[in-house]
Amino acid sequence: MNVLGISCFYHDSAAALLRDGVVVAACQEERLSRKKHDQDFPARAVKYVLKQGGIGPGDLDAVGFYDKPLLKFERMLSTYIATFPRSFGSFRKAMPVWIKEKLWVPSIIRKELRPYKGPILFAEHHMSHAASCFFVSPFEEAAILTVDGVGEWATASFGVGKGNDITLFKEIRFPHSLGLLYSAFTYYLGFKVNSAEYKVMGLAPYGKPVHVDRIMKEIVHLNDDGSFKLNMKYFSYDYGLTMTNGAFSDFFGGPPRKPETWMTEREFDIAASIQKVCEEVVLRMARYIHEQTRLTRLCMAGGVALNCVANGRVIRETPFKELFVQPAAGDAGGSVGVAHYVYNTLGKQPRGPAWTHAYLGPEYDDAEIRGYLDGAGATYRVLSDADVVRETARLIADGNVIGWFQGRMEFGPRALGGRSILADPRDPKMRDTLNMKIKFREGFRPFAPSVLADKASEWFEIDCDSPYMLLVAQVREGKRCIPSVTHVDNSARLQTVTREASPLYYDLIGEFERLTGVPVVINTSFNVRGEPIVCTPHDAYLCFMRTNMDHLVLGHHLLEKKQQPPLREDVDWRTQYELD
Amino acid sequence: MNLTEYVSRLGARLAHLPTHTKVLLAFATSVLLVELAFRRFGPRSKAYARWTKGVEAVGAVWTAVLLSIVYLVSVGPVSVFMKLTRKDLLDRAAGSDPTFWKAHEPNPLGALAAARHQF
Repeated sequence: MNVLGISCFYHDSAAALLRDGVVVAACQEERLSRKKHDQDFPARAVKYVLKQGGIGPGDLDAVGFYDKPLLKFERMLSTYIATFPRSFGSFRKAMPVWIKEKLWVPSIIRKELRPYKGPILFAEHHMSHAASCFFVSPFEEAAILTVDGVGEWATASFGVGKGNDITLFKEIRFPHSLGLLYSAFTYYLGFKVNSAEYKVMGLAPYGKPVHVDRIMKEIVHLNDDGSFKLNMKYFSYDYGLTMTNGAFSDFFGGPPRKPETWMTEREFDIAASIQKVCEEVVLRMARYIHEQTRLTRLCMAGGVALNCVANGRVIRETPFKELFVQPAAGDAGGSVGVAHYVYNTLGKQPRGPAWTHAYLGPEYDDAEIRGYLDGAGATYRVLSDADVVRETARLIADGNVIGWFQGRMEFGPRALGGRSILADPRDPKMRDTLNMKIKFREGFRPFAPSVLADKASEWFEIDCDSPYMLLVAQVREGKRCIPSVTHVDNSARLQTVTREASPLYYDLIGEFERLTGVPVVINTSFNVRGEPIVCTPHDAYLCFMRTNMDHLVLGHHLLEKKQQPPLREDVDWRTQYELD
Repeated sequence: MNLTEYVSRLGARLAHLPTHTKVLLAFATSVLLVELAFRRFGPRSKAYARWTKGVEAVGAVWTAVLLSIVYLVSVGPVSVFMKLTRKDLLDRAAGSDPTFWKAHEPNPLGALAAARHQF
């Protein structure tokens, strides 16, 4: 049975193909359209997943859409009514899109999937999130927590998954939203909403959470059970085109920071404060859910589940013993979720195997890579598997920055060794080099380590796997010789790598350890600021040539920057991507 | 009624229209014909791109005007009614409830039937 899951029309469109309960392929549209957070119908992603599955639209048995458009529309109309006349700007901007596109989801799907004639099924947004984490988790029974900006009405929900069924018990409803609260602070700190929330998380350790008590007293009314209400006096996201208003600015003593301007202690402290508040809410929710369900396993999804600092605290500070976070926890993961919901819950089918990796995107064999490189006039050497590992590890140990393009692309926002930039974490200058000369991004941004799973607890204060880079742990005191992946508070957002999930990457880190004694490499996404992670050899070669990377490893092909012919481009690529 | 008769009747009806209606109709017909001509003869021409940009700008103004009317006529009265009856569809009032969790209501249609609908 083939089920296609689709998420789109808000942000991070994606498609996923499920065959007999197993995800054959999943891909975000942005990777193929090269438009960051692309929200359009994922036509390219659909085409890819169907091709990967070796089928056409006519072979599909069902199509699932990740939310209920009419319920969302009802919420929007209710909001316009409740906030009249201030909502006029928002109404005027949103209505044409709804009238033209969002109210016609079935027609659009039918048109895009001709000659498909089967059912189109809709799941609630938070049910899609819940299904996206529970059905791919290794747990037969688990509590589920989903927290994001907003779906239809729900902004957070919890329930229990058992076998092939999920029951959601309770929810928090719009406009009271932890995701939107965090986004409001993201906006106020001068970053892009629905895109740069992770920057606030990265900024937080530089500051002191001095505003927490004030926020809790005045802005967030938080109960012991993790439920909360926001004081909407401070926000404008319910009626306007911005997230916060004058009252919010007055509360924090100034207007929102202008993007790309200097940051001061004030911004650091605000980031630290909202991060602390976010963690506190998630912790209280998790404790309450444990109290209600008495289960020891928790699955999490929704954009807030990408807050790996909060996730780390959930596993350390709540009674939950095991935690599974969907690697594509944001809306893209909804495509996987709705496909599973349709197949497992509605179709009453048994569950497939748990995910052990997130390499669900396109891959390119050596012939395709060589064809591209020859066409581009690139100079390269072809290496064996063993030489790829040996040479790359040596180059990293010698201080080179490597573009690493292997196998299938990752699904979700993190590069996990399929489309990564790798470097030596021992070099204290490497962080600045990568930020300024390779990624062209803000200097405060930390880098993440990939560590051999069997060495993780030796180097980091963690006793569980973090295969999707969604947990933060402290670097152990005796192991602080990896300054480029150690944040100011000695934390690191780590990825644990197993041979089963990624043999070549595992061997590479192992070889690096043999050379240096350190089983850790810097792993950052293969892109520049504002660009979606590279997908094809062409994307990778362009990114390699435009930046100061030293070498590129494309499958079995090793390219050295110095040997490449100059790149001839018609456009200035710096203007190609909107800064996030 | 044959085609000739139909066309002559239509012509007569158009001839009796007020002048401003005739002007509007002629304008709309011209726009349609120009659009069709561009699509047929120069779909990738710079002139068509400029034409499209211009027409879209006019469309944006009209959309704004129409949406303003819809907003005032439909959203406005309901909002006033809600304010008079002190009902807040967003439940924004600060509360001292011991919990703000709300029960997740399962769809009364049942899971499969509910999934067939967008609501």
